[in-house]
This record gives sequence, structure tokens and C-alpha cells, in this order.
Amino acid sequence: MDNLVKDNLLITIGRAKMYSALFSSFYSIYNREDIPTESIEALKYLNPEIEKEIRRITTDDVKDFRGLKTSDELTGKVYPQIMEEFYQNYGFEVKEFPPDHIITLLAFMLKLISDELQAMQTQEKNRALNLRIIQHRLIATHLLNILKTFEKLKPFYELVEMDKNILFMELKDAIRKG
Amino acid sequence: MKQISRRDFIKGLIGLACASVFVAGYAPTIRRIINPRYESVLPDKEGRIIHSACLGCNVRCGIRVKVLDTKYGEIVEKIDGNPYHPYNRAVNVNNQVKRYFSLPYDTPVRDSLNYTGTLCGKGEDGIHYLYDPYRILAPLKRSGPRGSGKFKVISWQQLIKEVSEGGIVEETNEKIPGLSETFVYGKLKEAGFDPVEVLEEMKKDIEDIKTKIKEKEITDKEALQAKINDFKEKWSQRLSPLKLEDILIDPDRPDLGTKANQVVFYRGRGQAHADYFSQRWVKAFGSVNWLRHTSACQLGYYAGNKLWAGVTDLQMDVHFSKVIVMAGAQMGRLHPGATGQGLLIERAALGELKIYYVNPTAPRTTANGNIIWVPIKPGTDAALAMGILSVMFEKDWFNREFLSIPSKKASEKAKHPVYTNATWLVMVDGEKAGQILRGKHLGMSHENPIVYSSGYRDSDTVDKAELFYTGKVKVGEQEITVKTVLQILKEEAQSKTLEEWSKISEVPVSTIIKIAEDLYKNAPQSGTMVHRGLGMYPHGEYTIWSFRAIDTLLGNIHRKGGMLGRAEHLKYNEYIYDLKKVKNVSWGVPIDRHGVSYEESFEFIFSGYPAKRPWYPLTPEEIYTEAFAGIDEAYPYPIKALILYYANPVLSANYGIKFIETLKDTKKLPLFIGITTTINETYLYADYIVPDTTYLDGGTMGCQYVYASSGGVKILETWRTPAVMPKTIKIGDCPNGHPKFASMWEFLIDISLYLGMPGFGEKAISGNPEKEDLKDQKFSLFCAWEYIMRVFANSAMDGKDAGLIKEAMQEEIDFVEKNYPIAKFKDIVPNEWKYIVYGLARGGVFTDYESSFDENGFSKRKSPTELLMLWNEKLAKTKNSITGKKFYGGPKYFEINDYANKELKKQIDGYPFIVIFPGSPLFTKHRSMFYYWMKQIMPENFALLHPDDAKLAGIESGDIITIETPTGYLDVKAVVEPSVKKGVIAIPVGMGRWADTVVMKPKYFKLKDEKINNLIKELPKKIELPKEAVNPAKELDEIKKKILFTKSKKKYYEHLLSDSWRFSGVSPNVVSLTDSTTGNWSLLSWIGGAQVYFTVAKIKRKSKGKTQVPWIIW
Repeated sequence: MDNLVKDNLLITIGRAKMYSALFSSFYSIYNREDIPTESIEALKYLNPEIEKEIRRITTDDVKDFRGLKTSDELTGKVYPQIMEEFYQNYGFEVKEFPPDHIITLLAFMLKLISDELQAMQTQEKNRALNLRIIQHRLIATHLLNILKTFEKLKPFYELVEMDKNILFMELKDAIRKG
Repeated sequence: MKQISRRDFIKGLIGLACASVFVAGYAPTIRRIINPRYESVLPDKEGRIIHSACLGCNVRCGIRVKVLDTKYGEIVEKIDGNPYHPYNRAVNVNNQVKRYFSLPYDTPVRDSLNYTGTLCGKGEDGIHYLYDPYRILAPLKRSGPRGSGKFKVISWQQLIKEVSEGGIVEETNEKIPGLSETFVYGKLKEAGFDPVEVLEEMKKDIEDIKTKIKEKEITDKEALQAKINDFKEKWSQRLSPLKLEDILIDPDRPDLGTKANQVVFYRGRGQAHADYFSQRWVKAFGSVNWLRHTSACQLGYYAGNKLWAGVTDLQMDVHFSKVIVMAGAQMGRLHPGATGQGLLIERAALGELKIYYVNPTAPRTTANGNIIWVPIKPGTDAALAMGILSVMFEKDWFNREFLSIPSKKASEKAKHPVYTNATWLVMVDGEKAGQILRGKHLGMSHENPIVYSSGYRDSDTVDKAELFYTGKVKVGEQEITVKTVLQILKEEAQSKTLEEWSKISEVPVSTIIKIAEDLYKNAPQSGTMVHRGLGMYPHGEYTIWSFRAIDTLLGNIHRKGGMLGRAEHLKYNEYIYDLKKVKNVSWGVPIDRHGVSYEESFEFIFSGYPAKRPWYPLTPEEIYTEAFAGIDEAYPYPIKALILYYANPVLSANYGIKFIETLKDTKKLPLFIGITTTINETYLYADYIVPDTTYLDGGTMGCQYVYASSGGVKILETWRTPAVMPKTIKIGDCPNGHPKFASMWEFLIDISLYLGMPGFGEKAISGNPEKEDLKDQKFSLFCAWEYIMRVFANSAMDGKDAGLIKEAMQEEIDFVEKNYPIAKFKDIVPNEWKYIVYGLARGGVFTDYESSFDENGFSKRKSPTELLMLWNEKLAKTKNSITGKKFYGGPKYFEINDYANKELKKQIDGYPFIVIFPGSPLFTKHRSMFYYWMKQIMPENFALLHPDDAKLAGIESGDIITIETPTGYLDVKAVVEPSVKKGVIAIPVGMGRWADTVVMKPKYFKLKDEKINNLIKELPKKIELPKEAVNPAKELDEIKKKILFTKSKKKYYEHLLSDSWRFSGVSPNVVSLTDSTTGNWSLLSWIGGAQVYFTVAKIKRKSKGKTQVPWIIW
């Protein structure tokens, strides 16, 4: 494995961990369970202040973290439909949580990242690239949009925004190199 | 945050001891939340690529079809543009520059795969046509009364036998006649005659009588009756033991033709060799009734051009023009279609082109201000043209030198391929008023037009002549006023002031002047692009002609950046194999009376004016309404059978809904055969349904010309071959071992074999008689492949000899043989195959733009015309067959009226709004409802209203409004937007379906004619037919079905239950205007017989809107 490929793989593993931590945190709060220590550790690595912020979030808060609650009058109402179609376009369907719920969005992110890891291991470069493009689209179009709506999610917004910028640079590089 | 790079920062997470916090640990949870809708469908191998021709609309773009071979089988996965085709303009994804030109024709196919071509959404959506769940796959016969919606599957053999010999509807005990009753050739042959010899002589006898009528030797009933009696006596004896009634429709009216004319073949959409092939069949049958849908298409435009240039189709060069007046030409609709017109928009956006968009609705882009909307009052466009002309005359803004050329001789001398009749003198009074002054009128020995050039001169003897002249000449004993053609036009243009033209058209004077100035200053790279919006009015031909008069004054014809005809094509019908020639004889009047003069008919001598229905001697093509009215009124004769191919006149003609009365009546229409992919509003009344193939699986195969201006290139010919083998049932094998599938092709072939028609079967096709080595050779025609492979062979070998087509390299032969289903049939044309491959691999034969013009900027194509006419003598001599009054012979503004010019004003009085029916670039007229993806972009149509009008009526976007027209009431959703002219309501056509193998009774309209209302009430609740007869999608696996029909439930694509999206919207055609002077059939244009697509209306709000307005308003 050459260094560049290895480097890319490491970044994807890192990103996988970050989103696993985010997902498990919200999922645990929603289910009134303890957040796994490993998740807290990972998030603390990214932002030492974040533990305090997470502890402020209640189960009711998590229930509310939906696209439906965004302030945009026009799109807010149809956000569940928009998200449902978003997943459908990539061949997925949603169960358990509403399609515009933060947990669903993060679950989809994790699904995409794990597929990307698989594609990297089997050296399917184009597939891996496409999966990154979808991730970027999900983050830029929807995930950040929902995160920025809620005051309590501000630190998470910053983390995801950082990730978006990393992804963007990576994609730009990849496309330039053909 | 730490001061290290973000990438390294993220990577740092790996070092943390949190192995369990890894995605795999959450996999089961994630699977519960978000799941793939289907398993991965990666292709097993690379799949196939076919370059072919689109049929998303009629523009004939090139397409690249990608077919995947998955473990579940073959599926069309994607349709792109063909980068070789001039319309689709090559796009290199890695290096996007101006997308103006296609790949050079000699680019190796290997390299072409690095490029793609642009293509519009309709083209991409072709996949849903192929896999349309409502598609019929097996032959059907009705199993209840006409229109009951009951059908049963029959075998192909039963279909062929019953259509030929006749059959019985067992369920109703109705007898249906067969085609053999009218197959005169067969009757004669059976009786021992040589059919061709007999019919040729008979035809000659009738021609002799007709010549005598034309030359006024026969002018009265008695003289004609005597001739007819002689004819009858001669032929009764000659044909014994056959009776004359067995051969002729009416022995007392032999000019109507043989009984074979009682079989009408009518096609809707026709493309490529589907047309030539069905013409071959109709010719072999001996009927004159091979008819097209053109009246519902662009007949007004065609007929107007024909009056002007003698040819039907001329448009501006989209590559090099600088100013275009685009009038009545919907953006994204007119050739070169949505894809090709992208070029106009791109060029306008870059400032290379200015477009004046003359239309009651706004263009959807201003292209950086270079597309200028000129809102106009519908139906008054000729007033705008006259305004522009009057400015051009006043300011001397016209090409004096070009217009002064009086003859072909002079134009050759001036090295100009075209001349005009601007200088010819017209007699404006006396009994010959309207005729061109010719040598013979002045006692000279020739018939050449006379011009004025220091005296009256033979136009052939001068290089230039006066443009404006009025004088007196003596014709015989009479002194007659003569004027030059241009003088007449000038007087017409100046018959009103500019302010008056402006008032009529509602276009400001300043705009009219600016248009004239821009046109003149940019000539000859300026001109008009006109289409249906102008032609589809009662006076449509005059309007088209008025605009084309502007082009004449600019002298832009046949020039780079100017007005061009169609590209040339190769000799695809005759170069090696003579595919046109069939030995049979026909004569007579077509059922729609197109192209024939009433005054030359026997009927005229007997009955005079008014004729029972209008005749259209100057129309270039056929007329839906007159065909159905003709069938209904048995005028000029009753018909026995209608074979309707790929059409839906009930919905696509204005007030075509009236045709249902005729279709339902088994006495007026004893046999109705439908060749179609679905059972639409018209085919619902068929006795037999022949399942047809689509353009992706063997339908409309062959080589085809494209419409003007054909990308400006010298030769352009698109080749269509199937991307996948036919989805319809296999019906047997050809003697050559190749499979035959149910389709129009095989239906016509098998009927012809059953009846013993000439031109089909053994030794049916001759070699080209002009080629020594071929002339005595004969070839068989037992299946579609034997015909179509020879079409490609003709084109390829002509292309080879023209230096365009090369012998294909082995890798291209491999490419075609691996990718193209048609390669299976290469054994039919072994000698030509390696050349055919070259064209197949590229999807046609194309030349490039730059090399298509000479050093003087004239097109290297053969000029579409030599003479442009600003006065048409034939028209000036032609009489309205109802009133007997002469038509005006030049471009002119008229007010809208009906055929007999009397009743329409009364009919439309009191209706304050004008409703227009624009086309949408997203849909075709009425065969688009399978465009699954497009339907999601524009799920339904609407009525577009100006905000000021809406405010007065208290209407808001989303409200349902009732539009009352003189013929009925239409409920439609309103969209309020300032993109339509005040006083105008625009309802895009293409929707409002009620039958498409499934029936959904329409609730959106009510007609004032109760009889027709009842026909709608009588629609069946559903179409009953066996499941096995329908739905090519059912063979697909679950995953592909889900991918194709993402928005639909299983009941749609598996159980054929109606999906309401397919029946959404409205069709304004159902409440459009009728003509009370021709029996309340659809209103048509006076000269061409074009269907008239506008009406007048009152509006009111029906209910407050609850639903969203459409996504895209176009």
C-alpha cells in the first residue's frame, strides 16, 4: 500500500471514529442510556470542552433535533420528505427514526463511511470517491443546516464543519488528480 | 483546537484506545435505522454501448445507449447524447470548453468514448418508454362492443388471418370485414388479369378525362357523364367476369380511385424507415391514403413556407446567426429541440447572438439580456411582420441587389443560388387578376414572366429589373394595371401606419423599428425563426409567409448564419437495393382531400360550389380533422378500414374529441386496426391491436434526415438501430432463420404475404436498375431485418462512394458486433457490412459545420429552392372550395376567421381572454406520459395567468379555475405569473390523458355538445385485458423495477393499476374552437388545413387552491 493510499485510509478511519462517537452519543441520550466512555474520549480529543456540552443535552432535546424544526419557513415543513427523497436517491430507506432526525442523518453518514472503508480496502477508487461526494453533499446540504438550528448543538456544528472542510480539500485534490 | 493540520488532527483519533467506538460496532443499529432499498446491482461486466437516434421528441438527436448485462439480465441503464451528432455537441468531461461542435466524423470510436454529448431530459427518460408497464406485448382483439374496453389476446396467426379475411367478434356476434375485400390487385390477379397492366390503362383513361376538364374541354355535366359512360362501358366489358363495382369505389365517379383507397393508413409519429416502409406497403396495397399527422404538428408552418419557397422547411442557422426574430417558436421545442437550442442560449449568453422572442409567453432565460421578450397579442403576428416590413421599405433597409435579380439565368450570372419574384409583374385587375404577366399575355411566344427594365422585358433577358413599378399594359383587348410583386408587398405593408400595426399586435413602435434595424444591420446573418405558434391559426400560412418576406428582403437564404433548408442525406432508399419501387397502380382523391383541386374533380362539374367539405390543393401534407370528417361523412367516399399507427388524434387534434363519434360507429368505420404500444384515447375503439416496438427495441429503425437547419452541416443523417431486442412477443422465424417479433414491420409484412401483395416475399426487392451489376438481382423480404439491413447498406455504400464512410477497422467491427443487436443480421448484407459498421459505430453520417460553406459564405448543400415567392400565382388562382372565392396571393395580415369567412366572430364574441396552447420543452404533445422522471419535474400542467388579470378575477396561484370557451368548460389549476401577456392564458399541452391501457375517466372538462359529453360518460371504467398481454417491466427483477419506478408502488408496475400521475393535468384541445361553416369540426387553417390551437375564454375561480403549484412552469 503506498503512502498516499494509506494516508487516505487513516483519515477515513479517523472520520469514522468521529461520527461513531457523535452517533452513539445522541443515540444513547435518546434511549436514556449512558454515553459510551470511548465516545466521550474521542469527542474530548476533538474538543476538550465538549463533555460539558453533551451533558446539557436531554432526551427531549434529542427528540427535537430534526430538520422539521429549522427556521426556514418554506423548507422546514417538507424537510422529512426532502430527506426521505435524499436517501431514496442513493438507494436507501429509513426506519425507526424520522428521516430528518439527527440520528438518521448520522446513521447514514456512518453507513457511507463504512462503505467507503470497504471500497478503499478493495481498491475501488471511484466508488470510494463517489461515497465521499455523497457524504460531502449530506453534510453541506443537510447535516450542518440542522446542527446550526439548535443552540445546544453549536460545538457539534463546529466539529462537522471542520470535517466538511477536510472532505472538500480531499475531494478537490482527488478530482484534480483525476 | 490544536494547531496541527485538520487532516492530521482527524488521523490522531486512530491513536485513541477506543477500538470499540468504531463503526462496525454500530452496524446492527445503523441497519435498523437506514437500510438499502435493494441489494447492490453492479453490472457483471462492462455492458454494451450503442449509438442510435432519439425519439424523445421529433428532433432526431443522436443518443448513446448504455445497456448493462447484470446477473439478472440485460437492462438499458443510461441514455446520453452521441458526441458525433451535430445536435448533441461533444463534451469532454475533463476539458469543458464551448460546446459548439461535434466530434470529427473520422474520430475512432475508441476515442469517442472519452466524450459524451448533451441530451435533454426527454431523451434520457426514454428508458421508461421501453419498460412502460402499460405497454402492450401481444396481439389483442376486442371482446365487447367498440369502446367497451374489453380485449382478449389472440395469436399472431389469427390476427393476420382475420385482418386479411375478416372475422367475428364472438362476444357480440359482429362481423368485421377483412382487407381482402378492398385488395383490388388480388381480385384482378385471381380473375386472371395482369393487375398492373389493367390498372395503368384504367388510370390513363381517367387522366385523359381529367386533362379535358383542366383544359376546359369538358365544362358541363352532360359532356362529363358521356365520358364516364364510355369509360364504364369499356371497362365493364374488359373486366368481365369481374364487375366494375368490384374494382372501383364508385363506377360513376372513377376519379375517386379503386376500392383499395378505402383502406386508410394513418400514422401519427413517423420517423426513419417506418415511414418509407409503410408507404411501400400502402403503395403495394394500391391505396392513395397514406396519411400523416402533420396538421396537428407543423402544417401551417409547412404550408406557409411552401407558398414562399416551394419547400416546407427552412430555419435560421443556429451556429453563426447574429440576430434572430424567434416568433411563435417555443424555446426548447422547435428543431433543433431542447438539446440543440441550448446552443442558441449559450451563444446569446456570450453576446454572440440577439434573439427577439416574439411570443405571448416569456422565454425562460434572458441570456444576459440578449434574449428579449416581445409579448404579442396572439394571432396578430402578421401585423408585427407587416410593421417590420413597412419600416424596412421606408428606410430602404433591404437587399436591393439580390431582390433585383429577375430570373435563374441572372442569378447564375450573379453567382447567387437563389432569386426572387420581387420584380415580376402581376396583373391586379381584370379577369386575370392575381396572375403573373407572362410573355403570352403580351402576344409573345414564351411564357416567361415579364419584368420592367426600361420597358416590359422577358425576365430571362435582363440581369436586373425594377423593384417598384406600377403601370398599364394591354392584354388582348383590355388595358390592365400591373404592379411588381415587391410593389404589392410594399403597399400591403404600408396599408396601415406603423402605429396601427403596433396597435393591432400590441408591440410598441420603438420595438418594431429596433427589430427592423437589427435585422438589416446584421444581414445576412439575421432572419426569422418561426414555427407552430404562428402557423396554427386560420390565417397561419399568411403569417408565416409575412415573416418569410422579411427574410427575402434581407437576402439571407442559403447563407452561413442565415436561412437554411434541411441537410442532405444519402441515397438510403435506392443506392444498392431499390427499396422504393413496388409494382402497383393507384389514383384518386385522398380521404382528407389534401393536395388535390376540387375544380379538377368530376364532382365539381356535377355539383359546383359549395363543395360538401373543403379541399386543400396547396397543402403539402395531411389533415387529421378532414380525414375523420371525411370518414364520418363518407366524403368523398366511404372507407372500409383504418390502420392507425403511432397516433392519438382524439387527444392531439384540437377538438379531436369529436372523432370519437366516428371511431365508435362500426358502419362508418367497419374495421379499425391499431398499431401501438399502449391503448390510448383513440385506440380504445380499435377492433384489433397490433403491439408495436419502441425506438429502443426495434421500432422506427433506419436512416433519417433531420429538419432545418440541421446544424448547418452539409450532410446529416441519423441511424437508428435497436439497443435491445424487441420486448414484444416472438411470432416466428424468417426463412433466413432470424426471429420475427410482433411489430408494425412484421404485421405489414405478414399481411402482405397473406394477401399476396406485390413487393413482399420472394424476389421482392430489386437491385438498383441504374447499376449494371445489380439491375437483374432480386432479394427477398420476409422480415423487418431483411428490409432494414438493406437500408443501412444503401446509405453506407453511397457514403463510401462519397468519401465519407470508410472500411471499418477490425476494432470497430468488433465494437459493433459486440455491442449492437442488429449485428446478428449481418449475414443479410455480407458485402456491405464492413462499411455499414462505420456508420453504425458513429450513429449515422455527419459532416462538420465549417466545411459546409463555400468561400462566399453560401451553403455547399443543394439549395432548398431556386425561387423565393412574394406572390404565389397558384394561390391567387385557387378558390375557397366552400365560397368559390379566390384566395389572396401574397403575404398579408388577416383577422382570424373560419373557413367560409363568416361565423367565427359571432362564436368568439363576449369571451375576453385568448387561451393559447404552447408546447412545453419537457413533454411532447400527448405521448409523453411515460416520461417518469420528467413527470416528477412537472407533475401537471396549469393555466398561466397574468397577475393583473388574476387580481381582477380574484384568482391566486394554486386555485382551481373554470375556463369557459365557446365549446365547453375546463377546470385547471392556475399559476399567476407575469411571464404571460395580459389578456392571455397559456395552458401547455401534453397532459390530461384518460386512457393509456388503463382508463381514468376525465373530470376536468364538460362540453357544450351533449352528444360528445355522453361519449365521455360512456367510457368504460377500465380496460379489460389479460395480464400476459402487457407490461415489459414484469420481466425485470425486483431491484430494477424499484430503480425505474422509485416513486410508485408495486401496484403500478406489477399489477398495472392506474397511477394517477400519468393522468394528471388537462388537455385544452378538448374545449378548443370549432368551425361552424364546416359542420362544427375542428377549426383549421385556410390553406394548409392545419389544426388551430387557440381558443377564447371567460374565467372564474372554482375553488381555493390547497395544493402546491407545479414545480416548473414551462
